[in-house]
Amino acid sequence: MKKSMKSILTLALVAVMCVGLFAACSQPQTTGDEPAETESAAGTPAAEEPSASGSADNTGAGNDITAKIGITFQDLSNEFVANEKKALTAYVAENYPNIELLILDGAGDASNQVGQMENFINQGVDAIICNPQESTALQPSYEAAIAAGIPVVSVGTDINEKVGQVWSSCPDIPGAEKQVEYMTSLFDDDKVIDVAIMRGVIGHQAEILRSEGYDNVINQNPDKYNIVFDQSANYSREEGLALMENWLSSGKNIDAVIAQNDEMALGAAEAVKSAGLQDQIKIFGIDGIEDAVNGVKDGTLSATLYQDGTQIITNAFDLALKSIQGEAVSDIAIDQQLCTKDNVQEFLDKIKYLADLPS
Amino acid sequence: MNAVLFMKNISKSFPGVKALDNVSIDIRAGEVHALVGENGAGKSTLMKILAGLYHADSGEIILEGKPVKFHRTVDALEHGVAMVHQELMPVMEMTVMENIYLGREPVAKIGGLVNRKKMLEDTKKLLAEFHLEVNPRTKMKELSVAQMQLVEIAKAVSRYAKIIIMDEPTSAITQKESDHLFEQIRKLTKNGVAIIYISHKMEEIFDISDRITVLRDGTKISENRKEDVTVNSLIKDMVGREMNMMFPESLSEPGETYFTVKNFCVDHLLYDVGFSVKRGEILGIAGLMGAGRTELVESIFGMHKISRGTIEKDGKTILVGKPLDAIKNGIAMLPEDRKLTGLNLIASVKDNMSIVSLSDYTKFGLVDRRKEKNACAEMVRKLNVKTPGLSQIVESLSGGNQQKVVIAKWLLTNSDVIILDDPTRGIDVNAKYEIYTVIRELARQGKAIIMISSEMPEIIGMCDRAVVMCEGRITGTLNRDELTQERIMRFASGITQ
Amino acid sequence: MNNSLSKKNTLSISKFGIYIAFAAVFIIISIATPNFLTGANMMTVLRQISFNGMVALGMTFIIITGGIDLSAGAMLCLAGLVSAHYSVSGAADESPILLAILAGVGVAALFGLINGLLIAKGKLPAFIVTMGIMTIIRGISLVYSDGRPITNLNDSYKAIGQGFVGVIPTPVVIFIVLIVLSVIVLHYSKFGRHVYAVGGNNRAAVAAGINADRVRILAYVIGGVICGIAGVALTSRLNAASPQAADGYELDAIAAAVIGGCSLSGGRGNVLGTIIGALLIGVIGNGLDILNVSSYYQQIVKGCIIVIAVFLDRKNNSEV
Repeated sequence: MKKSMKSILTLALVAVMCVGLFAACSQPQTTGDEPAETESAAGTPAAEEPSASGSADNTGAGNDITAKIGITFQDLSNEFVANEKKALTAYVAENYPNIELLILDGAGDASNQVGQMENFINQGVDAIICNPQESTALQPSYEAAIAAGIPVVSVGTDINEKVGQVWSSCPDIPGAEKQVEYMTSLFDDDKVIDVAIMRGVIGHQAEILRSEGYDNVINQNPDKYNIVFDQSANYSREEGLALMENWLSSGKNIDAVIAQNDEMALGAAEAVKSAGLQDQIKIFGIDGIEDAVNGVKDGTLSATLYQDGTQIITNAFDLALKSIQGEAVSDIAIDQQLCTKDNVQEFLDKIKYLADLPS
Repeated sequence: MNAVLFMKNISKSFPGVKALDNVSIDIRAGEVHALVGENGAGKSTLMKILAGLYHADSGEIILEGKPVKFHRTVDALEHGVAMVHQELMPVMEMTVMENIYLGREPVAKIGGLVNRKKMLEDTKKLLAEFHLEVNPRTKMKELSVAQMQLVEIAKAVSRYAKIIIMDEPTSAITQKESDHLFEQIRKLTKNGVAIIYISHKMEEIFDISDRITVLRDGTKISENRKEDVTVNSLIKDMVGREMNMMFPESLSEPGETYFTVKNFCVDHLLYDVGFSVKRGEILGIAGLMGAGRTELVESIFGMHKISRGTIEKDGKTILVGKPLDAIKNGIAMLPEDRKLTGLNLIASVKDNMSIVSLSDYTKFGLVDRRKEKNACAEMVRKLNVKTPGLSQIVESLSGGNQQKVVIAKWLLTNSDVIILDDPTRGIDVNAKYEIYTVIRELARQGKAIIMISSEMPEIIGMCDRAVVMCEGRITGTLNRDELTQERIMRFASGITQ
Repeated sequence: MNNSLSKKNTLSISKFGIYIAFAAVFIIISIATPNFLTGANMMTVLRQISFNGMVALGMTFIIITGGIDLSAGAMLCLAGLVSAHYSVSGAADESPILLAILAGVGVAALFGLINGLLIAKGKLPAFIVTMGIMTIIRGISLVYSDGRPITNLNDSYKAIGQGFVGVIPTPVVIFIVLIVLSVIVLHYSKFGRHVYAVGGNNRAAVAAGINADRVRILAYVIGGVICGIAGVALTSRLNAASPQAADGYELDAIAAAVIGGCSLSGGRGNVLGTIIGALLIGVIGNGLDILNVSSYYQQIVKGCIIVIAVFLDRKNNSEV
C-alpha cells in the first residue's frame, strides 16, 4: 500500500512539473506576439488577405448552407497536413458560417481513421473528407459510408479502387517529372549530367510515385544522365546531411542532387555549403516547405516544387459541398508548381498567409 | 554388488585450472555414494560431466556395460541420469506440475495438446510420496526454498532415473524436511536406484551413505565403506592434514556491554525481541529456518521497517532507518545470501571489497586507485582469498572465497559491531576454519559480534553466549557453559521453562 | 598471489570481439575504396558519429544502472528546438549564446530528472516510463514549434556545430571533452563505482549503504544533459531545429552501447567500448554510402555486422 502511495505521489509531482514546463514553453510564444518579425508569432487572424488562397472566387460569401462535414487527416503533426487544416478552417469560417466541421487526426495510423470513419457514419454527417494514410485499409470504410448515402472525398492520396468517392489531388508523378526536367534545363544540351538521387523512406507511397516520375524522364534519354548515387535518407534532414557528406567524401563528381523532399535537400545543402561547393552542385527539393522556399530565394536550393495545400483542401471541400447539394462531381487534380528564383515571391506570400492563420 | 556406472580416468581442464585429473569412480545399483571434498575439489565438475553439462577432456563413462557420451543434459536424462542442482533452476513463473513435466508434458492422443488432467493426477501422487503438501497448481515462486528442493528431487524421481545426483540437497531445508528426504532416498535405493550424494554435512553423510569418495584438488584421495572411516579421517583426507580442532581457540574475554537491541517488533515477523552484546563477545543467534533470525538482523541493519524498537550503542541511542545509517554508526552486516545481497557478482574482487569504504580512498569525488588497490591487496593476503588477481570477477571464485570477499568488504570499514548471518553456509571445511579464525581475531580486537548459524556445533564451538529464537521471539538465552545441542533444540522448538 | 596472473584482466579480453569487428570493417572499407581513408573523410565520419556518440555516452551510464532511455532522441530534439528558439537571428528574444545553450540543455536535464524520479522513486519500469516520456516530449516539441522547423539561426550559434577548432570539427571536440568527463566520472569517481554497484546488484548496493535511488536518478540526469548538448550541437550543424529531428537516435545509441559491451541487465559496460560501438556504426554507414551500396542492402549489412560484433563479444565473454 505504502509503495503505491509513493508511486502515485511521484507521478503527481512529475505531472505538475510537466505542466510547469509546458507553461514555460508556451510563454515565449505569447510574448513573441509583439514583435512582428518572430516566425512563431501566432498572431491575430490576419484574414484580410483571403485572396492569397486562390479558391475564394469559387464561392459566393455569405452562403447559408447548413451541413455537418467530417474530416479525418492522416497526421496533424505533419506541417503540411496541419497547414491544410488551418487553411480549411479559415476558409469555412469566412465563407460558410453555418457549416460545422468535425476534424479528427489519424495520427499516422490508418486503423485510427477506420474508427473515425465509423464515427462519422454513426453520427450521420452530410459528407466525409478523408486524407487517407494508406491506400487499401480504408476501402471498406469508404464503401460503408457511400452505402449509407454519405458522399466521400479523398484528399492527397486516394484509395486504390473507385467505390464512388471523388478525389482532390496534386499528383506526385508529374511533379517529380517536372523536377527532373527543370534540373535538366539548367545544364547545356550536350552535357551528361552527374546526378545523385536522394530517396525518401523506401516503400512509402510518395517515394514510389516520385521515383516513378524520375524514371519516366530519365528513361526517355538515358544517355543524358549519369546516376552516380541512388540512396535513401529517409526524408530526414540529418540523414540527408550525413549522406551528402559521405557522397562528397567519395571523390565522385556530382552536378545535381534530386531529393524526394525538402528536408533531405536542405540537409544536403548544408553539407555542400560546408564543403564550399555551392556553386558547383545544384540541389532540388519537393514539397515547398517554408525553409526550402527561403532556400530557393537565397540560392541554397535551385528549385523546389510547391504543393498548394490550401488549394487542394478547399477543392476537396467544394467537392463535398457540391455532393451534398446533389450536383455531379468529378476528380480535381492541380499541378505541383515549380518554385525557382524567378517566381519565389509568389510562394513566400502564400506561406506567409498560412503562417498568419490561427492554428 | 555390480556397478551400474563407471567413470574412468576422467580429466577436465578450465583455463588456468586442472579441475579433474584422471578420476575414476564406480557407482553400484541401490547404494548411496557420498562425494565429499572441499569446494573446488572437483565434485561438482565431475557430476556436471556425468549430467551432460560439461564434456570431459579425456576418459569415458560406461553405463550398464555400454560406453556412453552425453552431449547435453537431455542425453543424460534419457539414459536415466538426473541431477538435482545445488542452485535450483526452476521456472519461477510456472506451476509446480508444469515444472515437473517441463519438456515432457503428457500429450493427449488426439490434437497434441497437453493433457493437464493427467499431469495433475501424476503430480499429486508424486508429491504425496514425498509428504509435500503443495498444490500442483501453485506457481514455483510461491514455494519456500526447501519445497523447491523437494520438488526438484521429485522431478528426478518421476523420470524413473537410475542414477540421481544430489548436490547439497539439504543446504537450505529443515531437519524435518531432511528426514523426509532421507526416507525417500532409502525407498529409492531399495528399488535399485543409485544416489550420488554431495554434501558438507558430516553427520548426514554418515547417516545416509554406503560408500564415501573423497576428492581433493581434482584427484581422488580415497574411497571407503562408511564403516571403515571416521569423521577425523575423512576431514584429514579432505584437507590433507589432520584437523584436531574444528574451531579455533577463543582469544578474548568479553568486556562491558556495548550494543543493545530493545523491544524490536516487525509486523507478523518479530515480537518484542531484545538482546545485548559485549565488547569482544561473540553472541550466537540460533533457531530453525523461519524463526525470524535473518529478519531480526536485517531490521537492525535498517533493511526492514520496524514498528517498534530501539538500538543503543556504547550507551547512546542510535537511529537506523536504512543500511547507510547503520554503516555510519559502525555496524557491519554479512548477509545470509551472499549472491543476493552480499556481492555484485559481475564486478571484480577489488570493486566488491572497496564499495562500502570507498570514501576512505576518495578525494574530491575521485578514487585514489592506488590506495584502494593496496587496501584490497592487504585484505586478500590477510584473509587468504584464493583469486588470480584483484580484477578477477567475483562470480568465478568458489563459495568460500566469495564469502571472504564479503568479509573483507566489511573489515575495510572498521566497524565495531559485526553481524554475521550464517557466515559459513555452503563453504568447505578449510575455508570455514579460516573464517572462524577471522571472527576470533575480531573479537580479540574488542568488536561486538553477532553470529547467526544454522549449524548447532558452530554455535557451540564459537559463541560466548547464544540466544535462541522461535517464531519471531527469543525463547531462551544460554551461556557458554550451558550450550548443548539438546538445550538449543528445546528452545528452538518453542519449549520454554 | 601471482602477479602475472593478476594482469589477466577479464574485462579487457571481453572487449576483443568488438575491436576485431571494428578493425575488420575498417580495413575492408579502406581496401574497397581509396576515398575512405583520407583526412577529410575521417573528419567527416568523426563529426557524424559525434552526435550518436554523445547520446551513447549518456546511454552507457543509464544502461549500466540496469535502465534504458527511449526518450533520448526526443530530448535531443526538444533541446535543439528550445535552444534554437532563443538563437533566431534578429528575433526579439535572441539571447546570449550561452543562455540559449543552457535553456536547451536544461530542458533535457529536467526530463532526465523526471525519468529518473519515476523510475527510481516510483519503482516503474524504465522501458515504459521513458517510452511514455518520449511521446510526451515529441508532443511538446510539436506544440512548442507549431510543427514547423526553426531556422535562421545566428552565427555564433551556428559555430557550435559547423565550426572547427584547428582542423577538428567543433562537435568532435565537444564529443572528446564529454568522453574524457565520462571516463573520469564512470571509471575514476566514487559515483561511477556506485553506478556499477547499483546495476550489478541493487540489493547488495543498498546493503552496502549506497543510495541507489539517487545514483539512478543522477544517471538519467547525466543522460539528459548529454542529450541536451548533443541536441544543441546537432541543431547548429543542421542550421535548423525540427520537431521531427533525431527520430530513432535512441536506438542507434543503445546499439552502440550494447555493441561496446554494455549488458542490458546492468552492471557491465565501459566508455571505450561504447565509443568503438558508435565508431563501428558510423564507419559502416559512411563506407557503404561511399561505395554506393543500395539502401536496400545497407540495412542488411548493418544489421549483420551488429549481430556479428555482439556475437564475437559474447563468445569471448563466456569463454573467460
